[in-house]
Amino acid sequence: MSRARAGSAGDAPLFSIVTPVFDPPIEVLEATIASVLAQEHRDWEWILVDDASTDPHVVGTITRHMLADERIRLLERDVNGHIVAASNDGIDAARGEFVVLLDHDDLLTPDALEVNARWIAEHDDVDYLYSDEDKVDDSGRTYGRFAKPDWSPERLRGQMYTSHLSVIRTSVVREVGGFREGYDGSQDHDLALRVGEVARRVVHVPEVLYHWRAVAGSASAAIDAKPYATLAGQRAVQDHLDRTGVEARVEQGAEPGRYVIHRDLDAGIRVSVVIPTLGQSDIVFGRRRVMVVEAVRSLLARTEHQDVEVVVVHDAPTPPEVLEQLREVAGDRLVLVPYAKPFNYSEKMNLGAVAATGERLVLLNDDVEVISERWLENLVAPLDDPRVGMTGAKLYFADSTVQHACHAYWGTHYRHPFRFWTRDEAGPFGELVVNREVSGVTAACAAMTRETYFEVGGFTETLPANFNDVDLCYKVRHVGRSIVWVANCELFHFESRTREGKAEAWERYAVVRRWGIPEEDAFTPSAVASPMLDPHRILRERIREADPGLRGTHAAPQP
Amino acid sequence: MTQDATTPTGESEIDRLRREVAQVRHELLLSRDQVIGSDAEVGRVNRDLTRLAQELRTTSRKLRRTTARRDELQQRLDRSRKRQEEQVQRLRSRVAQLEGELSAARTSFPRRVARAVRRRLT
Repeated sequence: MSRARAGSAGDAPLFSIVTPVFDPPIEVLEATIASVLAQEHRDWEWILVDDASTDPHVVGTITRHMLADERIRLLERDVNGHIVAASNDGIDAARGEFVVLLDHDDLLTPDALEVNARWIAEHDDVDYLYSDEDKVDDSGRTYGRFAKPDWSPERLRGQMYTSHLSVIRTSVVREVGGFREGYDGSQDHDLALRVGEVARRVVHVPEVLYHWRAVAGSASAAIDAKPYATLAGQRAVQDHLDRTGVEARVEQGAEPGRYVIHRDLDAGIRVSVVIPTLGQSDIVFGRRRVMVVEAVRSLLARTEHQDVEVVVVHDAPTPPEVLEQLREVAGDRLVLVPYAKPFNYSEKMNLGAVAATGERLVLLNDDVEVISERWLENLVAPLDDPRVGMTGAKLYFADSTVQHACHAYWGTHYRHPFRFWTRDEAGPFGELVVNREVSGVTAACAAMTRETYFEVGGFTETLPANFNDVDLCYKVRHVGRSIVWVANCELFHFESRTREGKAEAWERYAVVRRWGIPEEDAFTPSAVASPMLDPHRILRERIREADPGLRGTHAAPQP
Repeated sequence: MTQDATTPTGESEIDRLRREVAQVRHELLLSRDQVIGSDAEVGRVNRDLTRLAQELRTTSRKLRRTTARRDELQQRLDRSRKRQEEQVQRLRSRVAQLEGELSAARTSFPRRVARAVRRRLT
């Protein structure tokens, strides 16, 4: 099907707003209508599909507005067909170049269509646009802004994050067959997955253009209000994986609307785990252990993958008995690479990668312990997608609080958002329980294809101690590959909670000299990540949100 | 059996070659890092230059506007000064004229007034 634009370049597109309607409160419907009539962009048509509402005032209200504005059209269904059938009727009737999906009780901001038109003018190959959104309560107060990441196909598998406002090229919606029956409640997720598979370009508009009404029983107010929806969502994601040839199984996630992807790893792929060590011991959970030995023991115990090579790059002072224990644990999978120079983490890892024979490289610190089963499969298998150049894991301190859930580069610095959240927390918008594209991951546990590692030149040896993983992540994205953080690859990282970062100014400058000063992160925006730096602030905000009256003398104390 | 990637003593020809290959691979990594790093730095410098050029254009436009405004204000000031000087000149002439007229008069009060006016004008 041709996806050529109907108008010439620079023409403002005609938007077809599609709204299935079924018995909304009239005052709420009036508010929705007012938000459309207030659009600054004038080229739109609005197709309201009444899905056999029982309240006659609904059709009456729409008809009154239809008579006043010829851009408004009303389609009346004889029988209630639910949201999929009603939405498809609207799409069939659309005459515009782009379909805009609007629910019957939500609100558009006055510039919603204007902003989309601007982005479309900038990218004439765009097929799908989605914007940030927030919620609106009965009193009209907006809250809970969702600052979304740039296009993240892996995250879309874990949750329907694009949601509102979605604007899709009409020809593409028709090409993929519109909404599918049988996915009620997650029909938009199913559509977004199918559109994402064929879209030439997907654009994230980092502005709130949509106010999602939070009323009792709606999905916006409580994510578990529609349990049937999450089952439909699980099927939609599984269908998508099957269509795109990803060998994986989908399960329900930590909270409704989140999905866990369990991937299979081709048995014929050799994985080389590269570990630098000095052979040190430490007390963990009340017992002294040789860190590298237990790291190797756990990594081999918690994977079903057979073809694993363990490359240990050991400094000269490493005790011989540690190497002997490693031989006992890893057997003929072990490759030892001696290192006798002054400390340079980057050089050690590069020497390990050179000695490795696997097609996939896992970069691992020696002070870790693998927690999750099939960690290696989940960490390494996403690299089968040629668009993915690197993956990272979820790391915890010994007390099970989050140590690493991605890097974010913004506000002139390199950060660890979500640090100190607990293991059972899902994050503000599911960030801690779904796989997602990120700007960077720590090399304490990361995986790359051998091809990518050598293409980007591995770790820069000019940074022996700090920021070498930040630079590596920048390089991976520089060659056009994405980085995926894997939520269901979990390890302890026995780094001290109180360890002070001892980065030197010249180290930071070396990264800035190459990549510039980080300003805003495309995948973990500061609006999402920033409050995470202080859990006390979250608590205060939750208390205020629960009862705005507590803002005064009863507010939570400052930490 | 454990492999040892670098065994310098008693190495066979194959081991020696393997070690050389490893060294070359390592050097290749260093070269690639240098290339990617230089490429990134050039890109970063270009972006900085573009941004600076943009800022320079914006600042130049602002400077031109400010200069034009300054010139306009200067001209207004000059015109205003000129008008004021002309006015002062006219008043001085008038005072001189009045003084002339007063000197002919015999009353002392107008003379005092004339002197007071003259003091204020000088």
